[in-house]
Parts: sequence; structure tokens; C-alpha cells
Amino acid sequence: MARAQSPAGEGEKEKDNKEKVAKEKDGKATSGSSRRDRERKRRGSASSSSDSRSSTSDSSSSRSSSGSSRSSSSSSSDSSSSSSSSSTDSDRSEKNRRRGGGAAGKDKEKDKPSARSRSRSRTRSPRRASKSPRPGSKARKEPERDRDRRSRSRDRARRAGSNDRAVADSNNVKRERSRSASRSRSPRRRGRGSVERTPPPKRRERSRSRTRSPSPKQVRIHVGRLTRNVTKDHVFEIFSSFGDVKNVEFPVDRFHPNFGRGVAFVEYATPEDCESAMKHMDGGQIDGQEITVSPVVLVKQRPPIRRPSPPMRRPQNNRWRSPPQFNRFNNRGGGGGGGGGGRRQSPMRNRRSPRRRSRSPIRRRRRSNSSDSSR
Amino acid sequence: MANVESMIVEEKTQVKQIDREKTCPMLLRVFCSTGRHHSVSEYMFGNVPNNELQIYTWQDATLHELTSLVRDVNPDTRKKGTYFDFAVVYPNFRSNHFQMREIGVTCTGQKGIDDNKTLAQAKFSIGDFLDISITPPNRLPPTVRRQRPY
Repeated sequence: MARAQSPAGEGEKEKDNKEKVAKEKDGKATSGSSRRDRERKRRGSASSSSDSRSSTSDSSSSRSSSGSSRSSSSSSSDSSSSSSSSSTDSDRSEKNRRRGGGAAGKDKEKDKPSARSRSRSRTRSPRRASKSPRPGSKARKEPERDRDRRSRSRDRARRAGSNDRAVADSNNVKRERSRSASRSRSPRRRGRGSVERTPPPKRRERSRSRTRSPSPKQVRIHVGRLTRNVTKDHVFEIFSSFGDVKNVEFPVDRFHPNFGRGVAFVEYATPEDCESAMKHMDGGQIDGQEITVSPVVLVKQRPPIRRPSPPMRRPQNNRWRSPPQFNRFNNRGGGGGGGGGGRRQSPMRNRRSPRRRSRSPIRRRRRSNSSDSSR
Repeated sequence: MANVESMIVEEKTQVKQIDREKTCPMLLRVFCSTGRHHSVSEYMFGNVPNNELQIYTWQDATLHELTSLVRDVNPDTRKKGTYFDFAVVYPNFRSNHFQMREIGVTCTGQKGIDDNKTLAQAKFSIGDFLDISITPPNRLPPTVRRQRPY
């Protein structure tokens, strides 16, 4: 992580360390909003131990380095096969190997004969489920939990594909399933309440990206809600801890070129790094503010929306409008607020005129409003 | 009626409790000067006044807290009766100028009404600068502050 620290100025180094501390709290964050919430709760307990400023920076950076190495190893374990389910499989086996659980080794041996990756991934989970309740070691509980997380998307597939699986796979699979059908549920419930240890990152994002968009080849992310203290170098430094950052686009304020507009676009070399950054940094804190990290849908769409409209409209509106509105508009700071303010004004204009004229438009307006509030 | 509903949407009460264990501190760039505030023109074009003080703190830091931090750094401000006049400096988003807004006064050795005012209450947003005018006790209190001669 020496690379990450080099570009910082002297005064900013401290800050960056702290940012990293904050980031690390999030570092264990898992994907998905519900998971993030859970993580936030946990972050409190984690941070209480790691609150002291300078002492934790070392440990955090070392942690982050270990994290990145983990992700790289798991990405290397992604085999050349294109189907993502097979790669998730190899991930899982990779994890088991690392843990060194006895059950994991057996799992692997059993898996080898089955030729197709799809069927492998399906048959496997019940098998492990049948095993896990027996010994009470932690290492075996975890796969349960992992599968539990995953199961949102995969359960569906399992349920749907259960018939043809029974047909496609040989009779030993049937045996497995019949055994597991009764047992596999109880450990799942047990696993839910307990604390999760860092699971391998790759597979969950995969499933998420699969549900969100069909193309997982995203290499650009949008970073929002950055503060004015954050510069392009900071963004580069922070986000390069998740992988090779190819390019950072950092739109600057029109009148204050030294400040950013609070957004940045980070481009990674590989979609894996991109997703790991998205997973780790969304909801993370930089400079005391929680940032947002999201995939870029259309690259050039966002910046034009934000800035240009308010300065154009303001003088005109000012003539027509009563002062309080202008004040409200004025009080809102930030580039993001500007665009919103410009947009929000047009309904006000509409609202005013129909009220003066007659009632029928009001009725229309009311109806729409009440429906809005009820939603 | 439509108007009332829209008003409710507009009201945003930003009374957010900050847990210092969970929230990471922000960078607060403080610029002290004696007897006067810096001119806003000194903040323009990416320049800042040269006597910068960087404080890592949270939005719920009170002026009293900041005063004691500044006092730790500047020994000559420890005398009783030294006034600290706080102002936030932030960029104007319609021009390349900056704006300064006074947010409160504290005094060493005395209790004041602004002692417990927090940055968040002063509508400080992260990234703003803090400009402190320090008035030594033998001078007049900052109510009769001198403007900088141009």
C-alpha cells in the first residue's frame, strides 16, 4: 500500500489515514443495502476499538492490503470458463481450501466427477448443508451463511431448476437431496443471527450485478457526495486500494476550479476491481461525510444536469418571484442543490397561476398531490 | 392545500446526532489572525492565508471546543479576556468570490452565549474554511472590529 500513500501532501496524510480507518470500517461491508445497514451497526463496535487516530492507520492499511490480496487471489481462481456460476464455485472451493476444513476437502473431491459447472453449484449446497450441522466448528457454519446470503437469487434458481436437476444428475444426487431436505433448514436459521467473518467478495457482487444489469463488464463508477476538501489525488489514492485505477474524472466547479463538484468518476482496469470498490466504498466515509458509489449508467449524463441551469434562470426568476423563494433557493448550498432548485421552481410557477384563475385546475392538482402523498 | 403539502416537503430539519465513534472526523481548515478577519479576497483563486491550522473534528464541535484547540496551539491567546471571533468562509457558487459569515464569539476565561454553538448549528458545511479573528485582552472587544484597510 505504499503506492496508495505516496501522492498525498504532508498535511493531507493524516487525513488520508483517517479516511482509511473509516474506510476500513466499511471495508468489511457487504454488498446490498440491507447488508450495508447491518454493517453500519456493526461498524460502531468495530470503530470503538479502532478509534485512536494514528495507531490504527498501520493496522488498517495492512488489513486493506490483505483484503486486496484476497480479492486478487480469488479473481485468479476465476477460471476461464465464462459462466459465472462456475467461477463462484471455484471461489467457494478456494475459500474452503483456505479455511482448511475437513468437510471442504471432501466437497471438492465429490465435486470433481460432476462435469457441468451448473449442476455442480446446485448439488453442492445441499450436500454441505447436510454436513454442517454435525460438527459445531465455525469454519463449517460459514458456508451456510454465505449460501444464505446468496440464496436470494439462487434459491429461486434452485427451486425452479429442481426438477431437471433431479433428472440430469445421477441417483447419488437424489440421495443427497433427500437427506438434506429435512436437515438443511435448521442450520440456515442458526447462521442468520451470528456475526459474519469476511467472506470472499467476488461471488456476491456477481449475483447482484446479474440481477441489476445483464452486462457485468462495468469498469466505471460514479462517486458522489464528496466534500470540497477532497481532490482528484485523494480520490485516486483511496480508490486505487481496490485495484488498478485507469482514470479518474473529477469535474471541477465552474467558478472555483480548485474545488470539485462533489462527484468523481473512477475507471478501473477490470470489472472485478470496479465492483469491489463499489461494494466497499458505497456508504463509506471520506472527510467525515458518507459518500455514494454507484455504477455509471450513462457516463455523460450526470454533469450537465447539475450545474448549468441555475445561473441561467436565476436573474429572470428573481424578477418575477417573491423574495422568500429566492432565499430558500439561495440558502441551499452545493452544486447538487443548485440543479434541484432550478427544477423545483417550475411546479411552483404552475401552482400559482391555476389557483388564481379558477378551481378546476386546483382539483386536478389536489388529486395528483394526494396520490403522491399516499404513495 | 397543495401549498401546505409542498411546504412540509421543503422543511428539512438537520438535527443529526453525530456519534464520534462512528463518524470519521472531517478536515477543518482554520485561519487565525489578530485583531481582524482575513479578507475574503485572500481566499480567492485557490489561495489561502498562510497561517493555516488544520483541525480534525466533527460537525458537532462547539466553538468552545475549537477555542481550546486554538489556544493549545497559540500560547499568546491563553490570556484571560482574549476574544475569538469565528466566521465561516465559503465559496459563492455564482461567482469566483468567497463569502464570510460570522457565527459567534467566545472569550477565554469567560462564558458566552456562543460557547455551546456547534458548527452544524452554524450551518457549517464540510469544506468551508473557518476564519478566527483573535482580539487580545488589552484591545477593544470585537464588537468594534476594524475592517481591513484596502
